[in-house]
Amino acid sequence: MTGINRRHFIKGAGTTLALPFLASLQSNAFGKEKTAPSPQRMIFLCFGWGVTKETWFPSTNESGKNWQITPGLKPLEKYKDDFTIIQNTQHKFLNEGHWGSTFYLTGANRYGVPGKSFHNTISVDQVAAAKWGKNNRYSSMPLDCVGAESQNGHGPGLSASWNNSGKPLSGLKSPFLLYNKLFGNEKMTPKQKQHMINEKKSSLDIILTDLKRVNKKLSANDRDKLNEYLESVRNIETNLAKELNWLYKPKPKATVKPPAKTVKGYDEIKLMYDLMIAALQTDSTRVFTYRQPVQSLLDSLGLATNAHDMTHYARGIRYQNSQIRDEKQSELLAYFISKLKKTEDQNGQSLFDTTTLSYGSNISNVHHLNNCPAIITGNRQNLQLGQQLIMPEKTPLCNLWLTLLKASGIDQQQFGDSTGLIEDLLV
Amino acid sequence: MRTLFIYVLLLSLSTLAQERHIQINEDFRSFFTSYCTDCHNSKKQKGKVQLDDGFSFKINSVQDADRWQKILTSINSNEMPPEDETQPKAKDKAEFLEMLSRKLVDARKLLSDSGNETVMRRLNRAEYANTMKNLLGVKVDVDNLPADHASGSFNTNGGSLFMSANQIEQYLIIAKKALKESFVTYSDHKLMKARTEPEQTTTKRIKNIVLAREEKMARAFSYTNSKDPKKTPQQFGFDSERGVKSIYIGQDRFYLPQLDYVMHPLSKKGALLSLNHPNPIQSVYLENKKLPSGFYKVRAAVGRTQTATEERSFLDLGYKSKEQDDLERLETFHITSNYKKPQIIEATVYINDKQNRVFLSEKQTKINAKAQQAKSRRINGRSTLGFSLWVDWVEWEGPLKVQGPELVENLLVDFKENPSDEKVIETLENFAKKTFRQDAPSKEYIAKLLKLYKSKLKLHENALEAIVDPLAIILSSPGFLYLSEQVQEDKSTKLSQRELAVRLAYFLWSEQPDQELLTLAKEGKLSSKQTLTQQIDRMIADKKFEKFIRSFTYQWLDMERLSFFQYDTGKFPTFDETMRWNIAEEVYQTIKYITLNNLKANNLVKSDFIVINSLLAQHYDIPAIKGTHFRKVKLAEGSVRGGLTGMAAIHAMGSDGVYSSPVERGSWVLRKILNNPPPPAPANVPQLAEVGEGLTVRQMLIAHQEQPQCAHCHKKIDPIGFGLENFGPTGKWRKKVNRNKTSSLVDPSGKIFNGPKFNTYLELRDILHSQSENFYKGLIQNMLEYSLGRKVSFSDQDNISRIYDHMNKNGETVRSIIHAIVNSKSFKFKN
Repeated sequence: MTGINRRHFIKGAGTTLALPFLASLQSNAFGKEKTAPSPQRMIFLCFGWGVTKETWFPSTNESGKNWQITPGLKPLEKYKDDFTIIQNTQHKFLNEGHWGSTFYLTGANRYGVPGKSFHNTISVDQVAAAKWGKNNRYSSMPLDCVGAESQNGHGPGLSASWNNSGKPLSGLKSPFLLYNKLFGNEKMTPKQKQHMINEKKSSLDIILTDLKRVNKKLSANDRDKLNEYLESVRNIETNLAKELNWLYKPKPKATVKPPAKTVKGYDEIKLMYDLMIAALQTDSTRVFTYRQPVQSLLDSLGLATNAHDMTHYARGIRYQNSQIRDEKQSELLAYFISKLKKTEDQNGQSLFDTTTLSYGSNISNVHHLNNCPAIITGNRQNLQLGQQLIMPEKTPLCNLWLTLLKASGIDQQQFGDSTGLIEDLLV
Repeated sequence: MRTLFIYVLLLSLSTLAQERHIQINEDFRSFFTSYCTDCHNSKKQKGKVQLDDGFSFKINSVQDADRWQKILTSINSNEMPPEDETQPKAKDKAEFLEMLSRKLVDARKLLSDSGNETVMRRLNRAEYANTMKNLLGVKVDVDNLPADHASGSFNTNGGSLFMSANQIEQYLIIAKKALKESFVTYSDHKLMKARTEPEQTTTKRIKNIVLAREEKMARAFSYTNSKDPKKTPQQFGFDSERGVKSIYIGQDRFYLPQLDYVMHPLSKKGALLSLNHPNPIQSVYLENKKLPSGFYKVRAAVGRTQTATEERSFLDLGYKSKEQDDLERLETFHITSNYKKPQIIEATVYINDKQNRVFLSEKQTKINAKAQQAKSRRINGRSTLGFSLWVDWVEWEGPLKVQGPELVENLLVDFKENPSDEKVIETLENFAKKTFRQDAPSKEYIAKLLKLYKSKLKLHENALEAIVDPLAIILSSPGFLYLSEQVQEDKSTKLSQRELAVRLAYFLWSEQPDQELLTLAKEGKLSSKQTLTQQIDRMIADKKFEKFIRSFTYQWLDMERLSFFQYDTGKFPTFDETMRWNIAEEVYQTIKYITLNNLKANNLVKSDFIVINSLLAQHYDIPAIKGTHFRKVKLAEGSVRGGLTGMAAIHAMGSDGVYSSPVERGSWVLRKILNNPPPPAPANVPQLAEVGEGLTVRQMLIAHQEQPQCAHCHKKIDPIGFGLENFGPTGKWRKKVNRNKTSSLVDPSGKIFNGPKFNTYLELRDILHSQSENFYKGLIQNMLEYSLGRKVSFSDQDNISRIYDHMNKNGETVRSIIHAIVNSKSFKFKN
């Protein structure tokens, strides 16, 4: 980047500004009709430390519709026809046994750029967000937990989402924050809000004046670094432009109770699921990623084990706790599925049928990065559910992401290191 | 070593990336010809992999490294050679794996070597908070900013300090709040004072609960004993039969401790502190009033009860947060006088809308009521452990008049009435200049801020409110948030004097340079050899140097792990949160002591003294010393304490809250003391079927040796780990170890891989001490990374050697390392 071309930037912001405006007009005029097809949605749930190998994965001798539920998946038995489990996918570049989510949705090569010790690329959810985001108040909502990086085995990043330049997107770390973003802060009149937005815009404008000054004296690499700041400002400006469009559309009425600030672990995950449903129901966003907590889940279940050490299980208490963890996580997923099925969107269709839900981790178990646990559910019109797919060993996980994009109506040739689609997953 | 040196020299001379490579020893070709090339040859190319003669043993690109990584992974995971083919001998395989995993670590290092280029970085969370505190005199709430402690690198590493939209919005919010709070804190207020006699508050409250309970029990009793056949629970004031029953069932959980409390004679003259119910924390009742933010003095008269023991005579004072049940400990007092003549303790606290509850409690930071309860039941069948500390009265006074930072004091004067435009411009310019560490803002920027101020003035009532937003913008601008350094035409450029001052300050103080540094920089004197030396010593002597000690040490020694585990309070009754805080403090205090007193840095490996307080003295069974401040204590001959591997913190980190972990400890010693880090735990190694809880530690060692994938690292890790087995999970010394209900004598004897044998821990420590050069080089490398804000790599090896030489000639002190780092070209030059 050579200097900051302010005019170019404003022009850029202008076009992104105009598009959502048109889209929202359209949806105002026609979108409410029940006959309109429902939009596609995507959710990526990530848990850091993988699963218990022996008791979570179904036998690889069984495939198709014929497979036996395992102890780790037991709570999901009732929904056996509603999800597909996929074995043998992996990211070929990953070597970090403690990084469950850093490259999970991107598939990038950490060392891909010479002279740098960290490199990442866009995550799959952001591909969808770029496509659909203009229709919603929030183009995507990355969710996160406290202490995600090390204790919860997710690895570096601010959420599982990474933007177009491979920079991390920050996530909301608690149900309380998510609730506020979805339903809070409605005390202002549109006029007051407009004023606030204008004030923010002028603040950003002043900030960019200083950025221009600092930028002048920097080396190429440092300009690159500062560009992160510029991109972030642009990001805010786009969001503000969007807020202007939504000015006269108040935030939806809350469909759930405001959560307590201190809720942790099992209930925290459950509340996040509830709030995701509320967000989809009100069409506040169509794209979610969530780095789920593991350590606080254990704490909330009264299991006194360190999450990382638990993954190095052998017979004994760690092994038991590891299995309880699996079961409880499956129980939560079953709860989520049941709620998605029960809830209708604004077009009267069930959220389950219109949402592609992925549940898994980049870590299989211990430090194993092959055969990532992967469960796909929802979006029944486009996905073949109720089966186990045993893929050839080392199938790129990115093939799965590419397939999910296609099932959601986003056709692209490639994603990450993908080599093709998982055809058996598609209807 | 010498060949490496020449090689490194060549590397640093060569500028073209393709000339730099990692060479794999050609001797290992035979491994390929024996086990691989039957299938992976140029004709067959099974799996499109060809490993025969043409295959290059040089790694000089990302693709090469990825290819070798694949080879490593497939052998590690037992995927190759296939089961039905000839398998390598265990020894060959282990050697090959060891060599290759090391070479790959080197290759990754080489390929990600930035060639001495330091990427500009933003202030990390801690530096931001420190700098804000310095500028505005208030502690900002940074909970919503990313923590910045990335795995495997320091929080000063520019490459991993990202920026996001949310973050910029947070900076604006935090700055506005901090400015408003600062204006209140440093304005004049009326002094207030209040004293509480807790028998009238706490005791009264508990007594009322007891009385109500007893009254209810009496009613339940008369209902049950009534012979009237027509009796109903309602007549006796109960909703239902169940309501009556509930009085009898599960009543004692709260009632008995409450009764114990009320019956205690001292509760009539003050408040008793209990470990759990009914009074685990004594509030200072500040929160009942809406007080202006500011500094307050808190005092209390506290004495020991008759039953107090030495162990239970520590009092914590701190903040209780409204939102979480966490307590933030501020200070621990050792209570030495008894209730007849209570001791007066005093502390200055800072109160704002988030931090407005002050508490006193017997030492323990987290209220983990359940665990505490369970613990006391196990011990004596009752729900209370008795009372050790008694509070006669508590009082507070404030807000105290405290001199604010210059910027704030000026604003409070200048913006009392509406200042002229000139004054506003001058203020904005000064504020920006100070905030940008003496870099001047642009005219356009100031003009825009002035415009904003004026538009705010139209909306707000007073000038002070109107200036908040413009100042918050300054505090969120790149000029403040980024430590930018100027370059000339993308070439290596010597830092300006001002930039040098900034680097120095963030290195040694984790905050912005003070006036003296900036003045010297302005006068062009800072970089002269003599001045620089003086300044470094002044900075080390300054209180702010503690920030370096803590921040650097925490990350260097991976002390994050200390907070990972919940210790079972039943098993380790004295190992509570306060203890955990204190054992960490021992590490910091020791490093500080060694640094300030110019002792050899390898006192961290072995020393004849320790730096502890009375809490740690008890933990280590060292004859009682009084008071919670840390001080040097001479050790008896043959003591196992002295040096990092004798510290409780290191052993607690190398445990999981229940058991010690020889593997964790052994690899920690390899990484931190011997500077010989084992390669990262490889992905996809088959898990040994029976490693872990079921085995004695010795059996585990044998299991590790069975498989070459494990053996090649564990033969180095395990012997050291076992040599430390005399230290229990909390760092207490033990002769026996209990696992799976069996108890066995600790046998620490072993042999360093390719090195000497040892029979006892003390012999092991002597071996570590004899290899101090490794320890020093590791320390230097870490400190260099921390100070430069980037990974150090091959191109830095020269520099590390020079720093090492300098330190060797200057008493082997931490101070000499710091001097050498600051005087190195890497530090004085941008890129």
